[in-house]
Amino acid sequence: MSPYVLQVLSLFNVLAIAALGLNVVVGYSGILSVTQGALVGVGAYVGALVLLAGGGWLMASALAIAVTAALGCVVQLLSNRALGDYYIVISLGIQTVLFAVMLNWQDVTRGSMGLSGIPGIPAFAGGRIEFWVVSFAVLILAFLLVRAFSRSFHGTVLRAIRSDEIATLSLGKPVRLYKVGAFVFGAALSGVAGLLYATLHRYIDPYSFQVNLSILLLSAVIVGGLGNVYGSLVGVGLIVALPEALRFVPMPSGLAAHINEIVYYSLLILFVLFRRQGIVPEFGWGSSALNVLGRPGAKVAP
Amino acid sequence: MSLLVANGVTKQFDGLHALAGVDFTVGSEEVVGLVGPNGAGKTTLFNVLTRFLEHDGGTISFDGKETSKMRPEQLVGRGIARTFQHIRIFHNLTVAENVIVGTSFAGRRRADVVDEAISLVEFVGLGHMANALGERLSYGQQKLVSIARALATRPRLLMLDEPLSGLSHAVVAEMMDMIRKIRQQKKAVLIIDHNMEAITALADRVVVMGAGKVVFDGTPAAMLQSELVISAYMGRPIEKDEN
Repeated sequence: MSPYVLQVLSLFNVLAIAALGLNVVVGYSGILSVTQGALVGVGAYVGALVLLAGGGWLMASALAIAVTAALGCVVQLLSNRALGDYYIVISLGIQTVLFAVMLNWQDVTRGSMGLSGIPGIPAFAGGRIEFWVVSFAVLILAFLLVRAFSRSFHGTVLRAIRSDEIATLSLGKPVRLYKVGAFVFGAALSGVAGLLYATLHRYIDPYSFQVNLSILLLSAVIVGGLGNVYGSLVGVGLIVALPEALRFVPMPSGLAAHINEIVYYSLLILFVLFRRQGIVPEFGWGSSALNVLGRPGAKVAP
Repeated sequence: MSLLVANGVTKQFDGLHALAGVDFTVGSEEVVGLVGPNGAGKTTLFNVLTRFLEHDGGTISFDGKETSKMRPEQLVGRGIARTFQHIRIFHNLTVAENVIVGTSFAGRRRADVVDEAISLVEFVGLGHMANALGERLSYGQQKLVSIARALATRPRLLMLDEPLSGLSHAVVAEMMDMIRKIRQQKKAVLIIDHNMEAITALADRVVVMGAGKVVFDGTPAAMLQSELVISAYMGRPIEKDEN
């Protein structure tokens, strides 16, 4: 397999892990977060700094997960009371603050210069195929975790919260705790994705983790299908494949990036207007809905 | 012994006295009807009793314990469950899942939780629709699901906000039968409704509210004879027949 294809497939694995986490936050819990890009960045910086300091992979993974999860906990506790439009404003504010920290805390992040020379995966000699294997294994693990969670009763409570928080509270479920838990889970997966992103590119700078990344991940989850674990994979497949496919369309090189964005965001608008349920609907194939007359995950009655 | 006791409960909204000193009790295994004209404060009282609204003054206790420091979900754990006037069904969950959200599933086998939910879905007569999405249900079916999921919290006091409104005569009769069956399970039931015929048939005691206060508290038979009650409902004093 060519290095180019491996690079694209590896990027798919990394973004899919982040999107799976975001689907728990947005798709299952209804928390419209635009902070995920910055959280991927925090995971990337924490992991890269540990690796550059010679801390080893285990410590880098543990700290990337722990820091992003703790940060996710603080973020959600701060914004838990806000709903709808207000939540989006707070979420956007947090994304901007985290980006500003990555850009301006130069002693640690080296600001716009970024961090380079990030070590690869030592056990596999740090090659492209080895990275793909490891990132794919992590993606499978993340997928199984999210699928098991979404099919658990706790996943059902999260979907209830997305539908009606007051009614869920009236049934004795601690809504705020569930929302914090969902956000922490999503943030932890962002941390994992961030660490993998840093080791894939061996270089990171703050501009990779701006609000664009948050919106890109959010679009992947919406276009793929909110609340369906397979939807995140399909959505990320689209956002990774589309720019690559457009590379082969003959057009002036200066225009390619812009046309890519126009096509992508037009597609997003069309989906929101005409197919809100996404490519893989919540109650379609692989649904998390509990079929009490059959097995979990079976299609529910119309 | 009274299960729920409210003493001098007050609640204001921008100077408007929604509750102006409500004294009120519900006994264990008692069915109490809470009636009154629109704007009398019935739903506000429900929201205050279930801690969805903070009250300004007075005290509320459930099973001998003051509830003013409890969060709504803690109160559910102590044994108060409620339904809503606007049903608030989970449209994106199946009937069974709606009920499962109300169950306590920590440390229990998955099959036991599902069995409990199914038995409650069957109790309200929707066993054949256990896998149907909430958004596909009729208005009456949504009301039944809201009662089933409230029962899933295993309440000692079930508070029903207008369970009979908007239902056909046949469905009202079915709903009344179900409320009687709930009573047989030794639960207290507090019902807000405007269907006086049903309330008098179901309730041991009727509490009538008017302008944020309790204006009558007694048996259904006594209520029907009370000029004060008729006055509260009609919004004017009773005029004596001069002929």
